Amino acid sequence: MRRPLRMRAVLLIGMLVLGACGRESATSDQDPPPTLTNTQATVTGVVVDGSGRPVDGALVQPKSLDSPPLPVPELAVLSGPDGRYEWHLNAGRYEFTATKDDRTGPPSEVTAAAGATEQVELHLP
Amino acid sequence: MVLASALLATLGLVSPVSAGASKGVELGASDTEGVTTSATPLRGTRGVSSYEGTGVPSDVTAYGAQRVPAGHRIEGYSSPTGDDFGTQSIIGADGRVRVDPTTSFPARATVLITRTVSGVERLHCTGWMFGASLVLTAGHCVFNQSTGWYTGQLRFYPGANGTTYPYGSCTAATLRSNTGWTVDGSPDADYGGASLNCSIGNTTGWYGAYWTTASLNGTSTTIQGYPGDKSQQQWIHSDQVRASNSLRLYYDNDTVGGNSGSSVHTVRADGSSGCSGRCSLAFHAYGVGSGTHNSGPRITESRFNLVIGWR
Repeated sequence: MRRPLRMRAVLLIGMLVLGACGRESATSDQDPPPTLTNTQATVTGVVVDGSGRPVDGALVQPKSLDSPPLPVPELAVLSGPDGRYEWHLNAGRYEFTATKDDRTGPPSEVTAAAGATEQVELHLP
Repeated sequence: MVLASALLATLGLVSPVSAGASKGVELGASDTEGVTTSATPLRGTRGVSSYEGTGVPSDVTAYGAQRVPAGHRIEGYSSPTGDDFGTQSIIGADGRVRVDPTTSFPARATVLITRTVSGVERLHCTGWMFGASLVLTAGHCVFNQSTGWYTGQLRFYPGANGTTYPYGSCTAATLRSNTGWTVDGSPDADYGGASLNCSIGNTTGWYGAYWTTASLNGTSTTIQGYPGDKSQQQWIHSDQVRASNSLRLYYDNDTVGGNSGSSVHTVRADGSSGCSGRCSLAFHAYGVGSGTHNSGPRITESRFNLVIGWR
């Protein structure tokens, strides 16, 4: 049975609205780049040893201190030859630690705001 | 998208078959049998089975991969004793076990992903083969909301085992994700992939995957991948789905930074509906504090159809 044209139009508009709400369309680096957001917080800094020298290859791990805890992406973020590391996270309170060769340094707490960059120096014994 | 397609079909603008999601609506027990579309209503379970591949190739270059000499240095955490350390994603005692060797399936279809910045190559994430040339992983392993795509920075080592690389390495021709992650930044949509410049999946094999509308609570879960504290070694741990919602699964598998992108899979018997063998349920993406669970985006009908379309 053919539907009246008006009903088809209403259904088509509904479909377009629902389609716009779907928000999980495939995308790739071959497409025009999306507008990057400024909603994440950046935490960066240097991992240093007891002598203050930069540590290369330390695993830097954040832990959420919010309640309930925020999910933390399980990336491997390692310090570079200059000891520097960089994490991009949702805004919140975190505790960062650096670990290398079975040595884990003391945790450093930071409150990271959206769009802001916080500097946190991490120490290894 | 599927709902929109169904509405199109209702409007008589497209046929019922083409109104379904991209392809792979009803797949057989083996995806080597090809994609079979079905006009029957979608319900229950749909998926694609794992494929165990042919094994260790004598020459990885025959698959377009690059040979990687033993001892190739990937910068990363090194533990002289192999001991682990306390992190937020080890829930209770650390139950992880090393996978060695890594030339059996699905270890060989489990992929170490590195990222090179300023000339230094470092451990980054884990992925899983899902076709001859397709690796799936977490969205945050291929796209960062602050800096964009990791184009040209990633390298993929199937079945890496410490300092040996039996399947060589490949680079990405195309990095892939979805707008739920790249535009909205939703953790529920934190999945992606990479189309490789090689067809190494023909020898490593690939994981299966399925979606279901039924509850997955209590379903066994296995995660194997490359945790950042284990020197590019592959480690495995099993648990079960502890909680779930329509877009996310929660489980207590022990993981560490570097495990992002691992398949959260279950083992299903031959002939199981939709998928048999190593069947992915979710993309591991997040660790959280004690008292809660680790989690990852659940494979849903629309996500399954989306990633099948990347093959």
